[in-house]
Amino acid sequence: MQRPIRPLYWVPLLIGIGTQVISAERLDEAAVKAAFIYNFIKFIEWPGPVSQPNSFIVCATEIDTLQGRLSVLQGKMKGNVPIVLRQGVSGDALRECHVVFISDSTNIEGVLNEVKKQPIVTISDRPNFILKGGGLGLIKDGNKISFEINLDAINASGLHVSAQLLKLARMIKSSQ
Amino acid sequence: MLNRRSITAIQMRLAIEKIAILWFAGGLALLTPRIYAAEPLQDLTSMSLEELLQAEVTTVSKHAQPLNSAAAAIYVISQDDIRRSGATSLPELLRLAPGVHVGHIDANKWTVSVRGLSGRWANQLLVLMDGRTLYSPLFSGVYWEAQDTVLADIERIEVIRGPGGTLWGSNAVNGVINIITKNAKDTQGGLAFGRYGTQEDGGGFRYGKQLGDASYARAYLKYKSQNDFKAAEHVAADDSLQQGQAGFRIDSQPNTRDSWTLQGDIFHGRDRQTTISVMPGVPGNVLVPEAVRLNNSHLLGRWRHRYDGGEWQVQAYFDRAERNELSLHQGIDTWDVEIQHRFKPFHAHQVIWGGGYRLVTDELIGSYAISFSPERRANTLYNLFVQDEIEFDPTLHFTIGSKFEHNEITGLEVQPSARVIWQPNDKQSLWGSVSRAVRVPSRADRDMRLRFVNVPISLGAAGTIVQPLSVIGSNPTIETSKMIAFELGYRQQVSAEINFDLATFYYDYDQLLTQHPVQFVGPYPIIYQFANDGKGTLYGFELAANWQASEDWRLRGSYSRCDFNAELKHNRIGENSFIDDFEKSGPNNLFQLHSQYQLTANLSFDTQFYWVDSLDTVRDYQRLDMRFAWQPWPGMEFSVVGQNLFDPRHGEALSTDTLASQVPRSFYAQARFSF
Repeated sequence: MQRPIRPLYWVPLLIGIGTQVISAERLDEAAVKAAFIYNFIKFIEWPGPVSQPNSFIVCATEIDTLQGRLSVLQGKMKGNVPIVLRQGVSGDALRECHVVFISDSTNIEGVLNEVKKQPIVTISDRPNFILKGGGLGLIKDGNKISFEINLDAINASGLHVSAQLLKLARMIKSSQ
Repeated sequence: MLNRRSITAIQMRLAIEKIAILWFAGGLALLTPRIYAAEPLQDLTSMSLEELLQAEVTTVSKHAQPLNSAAAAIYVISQDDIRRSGATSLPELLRLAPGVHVGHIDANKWTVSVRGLSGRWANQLLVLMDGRTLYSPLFSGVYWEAQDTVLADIERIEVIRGPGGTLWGSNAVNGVINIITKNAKDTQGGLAFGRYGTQEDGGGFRYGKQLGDASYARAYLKYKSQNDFKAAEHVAADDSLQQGQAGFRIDSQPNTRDSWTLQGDIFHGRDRQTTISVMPGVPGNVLVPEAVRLNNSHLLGRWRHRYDGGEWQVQAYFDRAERNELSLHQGIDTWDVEIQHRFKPFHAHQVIWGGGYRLVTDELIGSYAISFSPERRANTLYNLFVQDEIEFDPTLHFTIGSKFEHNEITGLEVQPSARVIWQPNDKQSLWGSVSRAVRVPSRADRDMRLRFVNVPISLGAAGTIVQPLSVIGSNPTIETSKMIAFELGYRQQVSAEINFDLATFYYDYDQLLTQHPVQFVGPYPIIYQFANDGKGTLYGFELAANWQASEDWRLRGSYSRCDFNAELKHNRIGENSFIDDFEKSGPNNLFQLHSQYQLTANLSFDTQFYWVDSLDTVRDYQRLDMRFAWQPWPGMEFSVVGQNLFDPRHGEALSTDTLASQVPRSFYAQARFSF
């Protein structure tokens, strides 16, 4: 004989269905990260004219960075120059960039070495990025994104970070 | 051939799930423009930093799988799918892909096939793990029982249905299966797992560590013990399996342009089986219970150099495979070197070319039942390939290429292919292809001598006639089996939550391998020879759909239909039966439905249902697998899995040379801990 199903068993299932309605409002992680990168660009000042004064070059070490979401930066403005996005950049070409985004699988140390002492900001969403000498790290905190700043590294590149950015960072690495 | 390890090779322009970025193993895929069709680009740049910090995020892949932009029928099994399937072996994992037929012959043998032509000796598939071919040159099929790795360290498995000969080479007639393990950098730290169940116990340990600035390594050990399946209701089948494996992988990227990988594994297995054999002076077949001993080892190195506008890649490996049965002792050594170059000679052209050399030396010590002449042979295989992907405009891509492969048996084989894909928008794509593929004769087709007895003829109450001993003799003039394939496919992202993928195919085969009787005793053939007397057509379709029913619930289903009509080119007596076997060797219909349900943040419940149509001598069956998993804290997972829940036992496939058994209902519990 079959036992009837006790109605209580269904309660967890119903809760599951209820919660998903709320979470459907969540934003796409990659798009949020791309927006963070755009904001960082706004809050960092580059000194004087750089190698290509007519464009602001954002580089990514991989193609399809952030599942293609980084392309929203293309054509936006930094001050009065347009942002140009270059993806899949490596080697010497990295030195032409203003910003280098290092995504998951790239060799962090190699890229950092390449851009050392240049007026270039490095950003990554790899864990412990700033401890390895990177400039700005995006970190996932539960289901929110926050960021860390390596002030030493950015200052060493001769760049200036606005106070507002420092105020919102979750962690600042600074020897001062 | 470097890129054979990656179905995501350039011409395929594959878009894959989420973070499935190929690095080492995938090689070239990085350079492939991918199209993410999930939804229009979400621009959040107008949000302030404060707002962004408050935003709750989710990853894209949870919503919708990007439409992939390969001009081929391709399916990617992700690590998440692997973990949630509850499968504990590589062939079992392949059940997850649409259109792939996986059948358990006994507890340690499988048949895996794509689009027909299944069976233990199915030999039309190219199977690779991290760039190394897994199929045995002895019979061009895979000894699945001797292939294993830490399943949690697999990055993904790519399954191409249809010919992939141009880049991938011989044997990629009906499909390519490409198993890619993770870069050592992505497997840092420890992982321990243990499993205890009614049918199977096992466990393993992996540890990954950084070596110096830019190098990472991992090493692992694993063990598995599988109990007997069922021969009948209360009768064990004597087909248990015990195996252990150890291995390592080192990945290094000394600078931004160069990277290299070194990996190796060593495997030992002991499988029980009941061999259907013959002995001198004994009429009919004899059944021999025995233990098969398997020893495999390999070492592979790969180097990749990127420069602005192109890339070079070189790979070399050595593989040793030993298999010892009473009737045959095999020792096969493979040396393989491959080189590949990708560059952009002109605007809108992406060229990839390369070559490879393979040396296979073997020692095959046979018996009365099965023997090889000569017992030792060295075979070389070399090839060149070139392919150009032309972008007419961003929506229309055309790929043309060919492989030129030379083997010692049939000489030069040309395998050209042309593919086109049209993507009018990011929601739809239409693709088509014409290709030619060949299946080069294996060592067995050329040099084997097999003694066997056909099944007795029943005369009802009058008794049975035991058939005389027959011999299949070698045929040194054996030719390649050839195939021309036409494929047409369509994919659509119906909404952010629903997409589907339809692939249709029509194959025209010629010179299919047959056994041709050359001598008779009365009506009974006693001497056969391998021949190329078969021809036929195969056609069908696969429809796969994916529905993200809610944030937490994903449903995937597929239906595949395949029909095969084969006939003899010359009508010889006694040969027909062999072709009949061919026609029924794969199921006509396959249906599967997978549900992945995230109950809460740390509880998940997954279900897989399969319906597999009848094979020649195996009834159709339904199979239900379930998995319930609990993650009390990150890095720790407990799961309970039930397999074949519908019936106490069922048969899935047969073999001609060993007794098949029945897959029982089974359960296991597993703990997995990473630190």
